[in-house]
Amino acid sequence: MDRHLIQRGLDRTSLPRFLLWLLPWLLLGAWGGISATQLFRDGLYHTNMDNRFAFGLWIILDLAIIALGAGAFFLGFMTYLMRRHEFKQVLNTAVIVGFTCYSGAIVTLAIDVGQPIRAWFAFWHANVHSMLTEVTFCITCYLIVLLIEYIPIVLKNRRLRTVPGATVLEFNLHKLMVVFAGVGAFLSFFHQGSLGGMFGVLNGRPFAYREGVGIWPTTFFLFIWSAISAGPSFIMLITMIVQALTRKQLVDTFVLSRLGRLSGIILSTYIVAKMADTIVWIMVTLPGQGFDAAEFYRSEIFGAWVLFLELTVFGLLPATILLNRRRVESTRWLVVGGFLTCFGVAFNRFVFTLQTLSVPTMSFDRFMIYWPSQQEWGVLAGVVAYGVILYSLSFRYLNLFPRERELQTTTGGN
Amino acid sequence: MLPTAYEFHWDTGHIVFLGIFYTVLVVVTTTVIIASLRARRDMRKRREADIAWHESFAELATERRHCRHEFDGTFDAKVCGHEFACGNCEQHRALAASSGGGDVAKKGAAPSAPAAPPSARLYHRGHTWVEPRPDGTFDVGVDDLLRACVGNPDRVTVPGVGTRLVVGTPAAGLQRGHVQAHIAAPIAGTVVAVGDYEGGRLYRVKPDDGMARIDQLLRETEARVWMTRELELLQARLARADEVPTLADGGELVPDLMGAYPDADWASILADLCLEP
Repeated sequence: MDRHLIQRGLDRTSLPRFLLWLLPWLLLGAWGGISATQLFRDGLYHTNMDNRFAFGLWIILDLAIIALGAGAFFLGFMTYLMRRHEFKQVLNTAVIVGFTCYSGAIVTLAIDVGQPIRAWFAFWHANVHSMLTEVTFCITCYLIVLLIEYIPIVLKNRRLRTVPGATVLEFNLHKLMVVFAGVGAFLSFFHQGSLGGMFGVLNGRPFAYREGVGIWPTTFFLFIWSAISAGPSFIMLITMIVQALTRKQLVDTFVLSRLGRLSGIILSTYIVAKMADTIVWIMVTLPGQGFDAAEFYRSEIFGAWVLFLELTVFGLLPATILLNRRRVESTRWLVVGGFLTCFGVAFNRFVFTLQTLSVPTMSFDRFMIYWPSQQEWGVLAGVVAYGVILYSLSFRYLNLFPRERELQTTTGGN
Repeated sequence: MLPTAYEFHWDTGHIVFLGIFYTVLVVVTTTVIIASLRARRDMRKRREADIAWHESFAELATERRHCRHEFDGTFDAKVCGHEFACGNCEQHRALAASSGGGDVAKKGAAPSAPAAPPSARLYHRGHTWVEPRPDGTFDVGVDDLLRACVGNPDRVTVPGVGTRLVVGTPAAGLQRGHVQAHIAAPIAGTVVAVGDYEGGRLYRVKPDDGMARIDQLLRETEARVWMTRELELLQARLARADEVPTLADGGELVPDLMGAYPDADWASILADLCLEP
């Protein structure tokens, strides 16, 4: 029914099966839509956030998906500026994943702020001393850049490319893509950093507070570093998941191995820096503020296992796997290494958001915990569903993997 | 945001932060404007077809982008990076010069193609042939492989007299049942007559300014090797459709492959043969 919209030579499932695949995601999206409507209509009292937990599930989601979406800028940087052309095979998918992550994050932020009608205040009455202002500006600009990068992919749709002007515009936009890759790298570098910097400057929250260089606390650099390490792994995982679901080879296997190894190299340097930062925090920063690090790990929920997991299971272990040349040749090890890396960065954002607010900081304070409301989960489900739906539509109607057709011919498809 | 907002102060923080922000916006906007202006310029210069071919070529499978000098034995393996416009390839020019040949036909004369007689057919990778005529025009037709695939077409579409053709863009069509082959123009120029599909003949074209650019066309010696490879690729496709090896010994081509292999994905096979995107 929709064959005329699908790129020639690409084998896609029938329209009814595709719609069946979309159905559960549409239902999740509907839950998200209903939750968002309730929140916009009635206000944030539908959430379980309060004065203590001003940051909740949505900020964890934002921080995690923005870090995972870093593959878009980093692979753009590697392809166009470092001339690593093998990553062109996954660049389209990286752009769409990045666009999905960033647009999802902005929608969630809009719901979190609760007054989208006044969203322009952040720009017009900008507080230039706030890390969050920088994040707002950079994310907005980068979303525009991602949209511009997305347009040429859309214009290559089988139907659209028959429009002469569409092909010509796509061709000319593509020729200037190096500029957008450069701007994207610049913007991402700063907003990934500022998201970390935002925690690092919280002087009244010793769990998060870090010293640093100039106005930038160490978390500024660690957040950039961890996002760059997880970005390629996330693109690798998404590609492998799509390959498994469609039972097709979409990219050359060596590209996945190189993505894994790239992640491994960056992750290994990150984890060394993270360990050094943790030691300085325990030995210098906290004693300087009159705290003992053990105090932060005495609660039933956030024990020392949190630090152990972050540094070893989600740090050293995937770094060891992905640094090993033989292991990155194996699909199984790539999945394990990639998953631990991605889960690790999400876990890091979870710890920074929630443990920072949970642990007591005053003598009369006590440990508190927060559990998201149904509406908060609904928004999260809606954002995830939006991502899956957008990616599924893009995979069906756009040529996300330029080598797919040729690989189908050589491997015989399925 | 702007000096008009009451929070704005002429201090370092505001100037640096907003300065960087506005610079980014200016760079992004300027780049989009440049791309749009270039697109408009290309449209005015009627470069749509060239650009479409450029885009299609980039998407062709490697096996369909082999250099012609692989076929004449100069290279063991080489992929064309010049969209088959050999005149733009330095290596080709050097090789052509060393063999004393050229690729651009002089006004009113038959093209000079080394190691091939002037009347010899030249072949385009989209499975068409070009036959120079003494009056400087060229007959264009479908080669034997494509004809064998389609068999007896239900409908043959040819461009009308006076139509201007650009190399690589669809100019004619063969339809059988629901399957259609979009046949790319092998040579640029204006259509001066249409054929009757006798022997695959489609139309006659007169090159613009009397200068025919034929550097993208294969000579018969090269075409023979290329055609053998194309046949092998086709065999592989048909073998997959039939799940048994077909013509493994290089057997004879039957005249109606679509009829012989009705279950094969002919839309895709013909599109591949015709270099469709």
